[in-house]
Amino acid sequence: MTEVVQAPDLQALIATIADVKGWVSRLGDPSRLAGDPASLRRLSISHRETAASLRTLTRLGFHDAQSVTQWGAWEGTAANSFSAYWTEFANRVEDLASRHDQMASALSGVAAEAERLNADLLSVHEALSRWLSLAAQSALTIDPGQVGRGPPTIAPGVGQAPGRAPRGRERESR
Amino acid sequence: MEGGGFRIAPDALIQLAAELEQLGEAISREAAGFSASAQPPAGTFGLLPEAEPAHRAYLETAHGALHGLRVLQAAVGTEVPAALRISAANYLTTDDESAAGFR
Repeated sequence: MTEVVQAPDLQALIATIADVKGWVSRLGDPSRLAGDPASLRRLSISHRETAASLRTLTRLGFHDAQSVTQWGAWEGTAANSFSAYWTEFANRVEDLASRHDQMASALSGVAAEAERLNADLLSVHEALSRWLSLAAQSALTIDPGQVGRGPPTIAPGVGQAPGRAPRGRERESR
Repeated sequence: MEGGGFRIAPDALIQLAAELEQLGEAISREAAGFSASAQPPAGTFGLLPEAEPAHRAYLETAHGALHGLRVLQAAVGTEVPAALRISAANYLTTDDESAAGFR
């Protein structure tokens, strides 16, 4: 059996949706709710640049060390130990640079995801605002004589989120 | 060099030490730049309550990365150059002491 949604139900729905919208608004700017993509990208760039600098500095240091140990200025047991130390050291720096690269990639991914989520949230927030505005106007235009006998007069598009089919104004009751 | 022998130009070690000290200064500047840029403003990780742990976790990671840079700076800019200067000095001292036996 179907039952027509009556005016008090519309008011309750408006109140519920207004609560949801208010909760989202209280959290802050909906366009930055899931993160600030620009700040995240700046952090990502910082890690990427640090990784690049580490590799450049290691190359310079390696060149300096080689200029001494491989061009005959220093040979022997101590020189070999120094070369081995420097090679291991360069590997550790490369590992550090790789971790900066990984962090840069992760932050870049988070920035892209935050951008997508923010766009979705903003779209929903704007849809809620439009719905509430139209629903409030419609509630004022309901003919009291129609209440209980037919659907209230709601402007076309009310309750319709972008890209979604209009939802019915009736509900099932047992 | 075979037979346990060695060859040394102590000046080359001292020059290498100076070059590594300059490299250490470059790493120090890099660390300072990273420290300044790895300070995400409030809201970087979002405005939901769950953003706060993410923000803290990033700061811890950045702190660890900065520590890594400082360890690197200390090694390249201070410890290795000091060891090279000591090595150069040891070679020179040994050479002088060896020469003393023939005077």
